Amino acid sequence: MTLRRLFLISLVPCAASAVHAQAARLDATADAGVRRAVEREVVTARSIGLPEGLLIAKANEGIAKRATPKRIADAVAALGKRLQVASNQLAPNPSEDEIAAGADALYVGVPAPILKKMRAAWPNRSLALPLGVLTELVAKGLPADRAARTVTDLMTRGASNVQLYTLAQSVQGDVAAGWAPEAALDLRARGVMSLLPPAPAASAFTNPRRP
Amino acid sequence: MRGCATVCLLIAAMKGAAAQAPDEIRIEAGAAEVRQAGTRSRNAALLGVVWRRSRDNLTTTASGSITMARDSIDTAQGLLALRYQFVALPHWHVETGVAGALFGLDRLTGGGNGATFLRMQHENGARGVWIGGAGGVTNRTGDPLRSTAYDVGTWGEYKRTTATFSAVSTRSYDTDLLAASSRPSRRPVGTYVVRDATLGVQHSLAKIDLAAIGTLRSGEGVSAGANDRAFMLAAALYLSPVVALTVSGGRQLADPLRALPDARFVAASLRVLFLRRDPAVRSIERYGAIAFTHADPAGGATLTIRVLASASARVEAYGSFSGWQPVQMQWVLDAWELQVHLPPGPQRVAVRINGSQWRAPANLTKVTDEFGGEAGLVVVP
Repeated sequence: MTLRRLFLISLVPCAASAVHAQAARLDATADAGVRRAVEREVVTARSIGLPEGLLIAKANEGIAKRATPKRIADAVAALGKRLQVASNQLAPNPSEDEIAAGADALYVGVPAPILKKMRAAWPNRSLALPLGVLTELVAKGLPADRAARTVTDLMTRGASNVQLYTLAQSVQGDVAAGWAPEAALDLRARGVMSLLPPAPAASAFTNPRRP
Repeated sequence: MRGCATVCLLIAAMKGAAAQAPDEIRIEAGAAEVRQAGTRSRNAALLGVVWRRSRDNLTTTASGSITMARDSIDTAQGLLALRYQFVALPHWHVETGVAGALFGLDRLTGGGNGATFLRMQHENGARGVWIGGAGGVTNRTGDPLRSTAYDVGTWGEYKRTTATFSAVSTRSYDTDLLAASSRPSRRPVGTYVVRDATLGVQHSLAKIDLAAIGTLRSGEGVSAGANDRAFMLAAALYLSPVVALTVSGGRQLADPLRALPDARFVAASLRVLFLRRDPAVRSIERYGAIAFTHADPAGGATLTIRVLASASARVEAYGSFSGWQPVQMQWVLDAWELQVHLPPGPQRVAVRINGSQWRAPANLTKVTDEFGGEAGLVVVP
């Protein structure tokens, strides 16, 4: 037995106890099948550096909503996949908040490549809020490409998180008041644009950066 | 005296049938039949308006009412009350106010009454205690007749039932009022004292509020060796969240402080609630439930959810902030409300009324979850 194998074996009990520690946060009424499914996803998530707490929270949500064990297990597995895709698209060093926001965006129908384009447009700042805004806009009924282009243009022009947040709030209010989502986005985006300095270049969508 | 009785009727009807529904503007109109001791029953029309406003730690209430009795001069009364919540003492607040009434011009009435009160309350969750005092002056014939009262009381809530107990000691020179009550053993001379013990119970069902109030009175000039007692019942049926039909009936003992005579009554009225006209409430009127956030300087945001529903409804919210466990919302002014602090990031919330299906607040972006449920999406900066 080599030293390397000894080292790996010594890690197993630690990993197992950590998994149980996470699983212990599951609702006490969790079905045994759900518990196993969550543990499996947690192990996978931890091995690739994903925020496993979200998986447990999703399982607890299903338990609180009295979903069937199969539905809960499916939802946790699907979330695990989304987290993985989001992590890959937001590479190289996405934060947990970014991964969570990316998974949320994927859930509402944002295509995975858009996450990559947004990362390219904003490589050194957190994408958590822009992704949240994008999620909200897409869930509101806007085409993902259109919404992503607007958000990315604003990011490229130097819009702050507060401005992006205000944009989402304004669009939300306009839609609630009866505006068409696209018209509301156009109007509000122009309002934010008018406060920003001129664009140095076209956005990442029309002229993507080369790696 | 007849006009005075209708004032009594109006106060009893509003006090009883209001059944714990604080409103911004409430208009109530109805009819009643009232009978004082030694007189025949007669009909009366009632109209009352209550205005209430709450800002920071101060709640202001103003009300006015008129009573139109067929064989009596119209009667009018008004009230202005303030309730202040101490900033440094969150469990304590003080209430104070003034009330005035103008009577008719028949034999006993034809004058006016003014009263003021001060009360300290200590509130601890669903129960509390108070202690207070009040003074009033009644003038019918040119001679002002003073009355003073001291009261202590306690209340408690359990689920949808609220019980209140109070003990009041009243000293008064208003012998005319007491002599006109239903069971005087003798006409008191000079000052007299009466002591009241009152128990009130209120219960809320799905669309109905019920209230019962019983009072036991002892003291000089009330009756010879026997206690006097009174009992009132009131109910409010909510036809919609803002319209209620109220009925009430029973007996109210004479109140020297406010110059209200002893009377038996039956009343019915329609109560309409007009909500505060700020943008949030306009949204509630339009959408039923809304949620909005205010960024916190320390990070995250405060989420406020407001739901327009009957005051007797059971309104809950849940979401990622509560681990998807239902949280009971609180009745605040004119709607059900919940405030929670949210950390940055996407959050989801939903509300339900009386155990029905969970719904996204109407102004939020609606998302469907993997379990077939619906929630509103909130992005916290």
